[in-house]
Amino acid sequence: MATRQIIFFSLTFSISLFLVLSMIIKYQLKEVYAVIWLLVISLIPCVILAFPFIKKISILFGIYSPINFLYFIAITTLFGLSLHFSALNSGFQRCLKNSIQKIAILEEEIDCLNNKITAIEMKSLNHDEDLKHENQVVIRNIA
Amino acid sequence: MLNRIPYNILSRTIVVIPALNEGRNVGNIVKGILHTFTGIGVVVVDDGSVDKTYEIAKQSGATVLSLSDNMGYGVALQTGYKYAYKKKYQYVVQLDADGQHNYQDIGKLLNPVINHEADLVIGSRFMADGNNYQISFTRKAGINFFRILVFLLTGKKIKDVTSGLQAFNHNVLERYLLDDLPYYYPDGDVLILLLKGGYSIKEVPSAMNANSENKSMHNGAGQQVYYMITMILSILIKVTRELGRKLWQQDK
Repeated sequence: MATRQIIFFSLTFSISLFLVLSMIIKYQLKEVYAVIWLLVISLIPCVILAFPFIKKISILFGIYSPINFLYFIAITTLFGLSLHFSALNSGFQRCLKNSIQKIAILEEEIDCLNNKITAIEMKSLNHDEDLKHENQVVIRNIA
Repeated sequence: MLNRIPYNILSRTIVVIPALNEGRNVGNIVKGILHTFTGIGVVVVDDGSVDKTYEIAKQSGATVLSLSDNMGYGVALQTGYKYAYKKKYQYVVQLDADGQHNYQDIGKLLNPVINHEADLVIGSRFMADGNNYQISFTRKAGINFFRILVFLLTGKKIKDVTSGLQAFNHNVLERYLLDDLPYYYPDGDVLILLLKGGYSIKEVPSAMNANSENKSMHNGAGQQVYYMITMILSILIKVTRELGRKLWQQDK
């Protein structure tokens, strides 16, 4: 591997690692995703260290330039990641829908219960006033 | 014509009305239904309206479920279904809040469901006599395309596959609670799902009124194309899932 390529890969590795680590420290990345991205980044030094091996594998796949082979691997990985995140997104959308529906139904039930409580309170207030009135009548009669 | 429905049936029936910014129409529809069909339940699902839909529907006597954000017609409908299921209603009628559907036809729709003639009854605007509902050429072409698609996939001839005026029983209600109900436009794709699942569907004529505000869920060519694409994809997905399910069962 040419020195310029090694410098380029090393720089990419350092910047990516710094970005991912800073996001982990700031709690911007959940553990699951942090693992995925750390795995992706750890592939970069593997490319530098095992370049002759990659050359051999790329020839085995019928791709004569190892860089093209790496691009192919990168695109395939990205495709896999997009698919994974699409599946996650679908799940979140379903959760969101169900939660919003549940909230709407529960809000209506709370409204209904509040109305019932108000009605009971009103009834007991009226009952108290009736009792007061009755007591006053009894006291007046005794007097 | 008002088909008389006994009170004991009406008390077990609920009308689900999804509404988005329909403050001008929803009040009259709710009052009309409650006045005409004594004992029936009415639930309006406010799909994130910015006008007074919630307040007007509530004042008119309906139960109102308010979605915190605009989630789509399908989600609004399903919220109503979930409420109906929770409150143990046996029959459900769904109609739109824009005033295009005739609520007087509720009896006509409910009768075949009550008499076990069908699990789901569609109010078809293409079977009604004296219908003053005007439809554009592109929309008619789209409806015909889906009508043919439904026929090819299920062998059942349904004239109005996009009608939002429907009545159905508890079995269909239970099926509608599953998460595979589309978020936006549950139309032909859901009918295919039901027919493939062994549910029976019947159509009855129902005149549709012209919309006074010329408002539709699929206004403009862009939205119509979007509707066509999403519906075709949805049908493809449902057919694939059904096929996969059958193969899976065969393997088992």
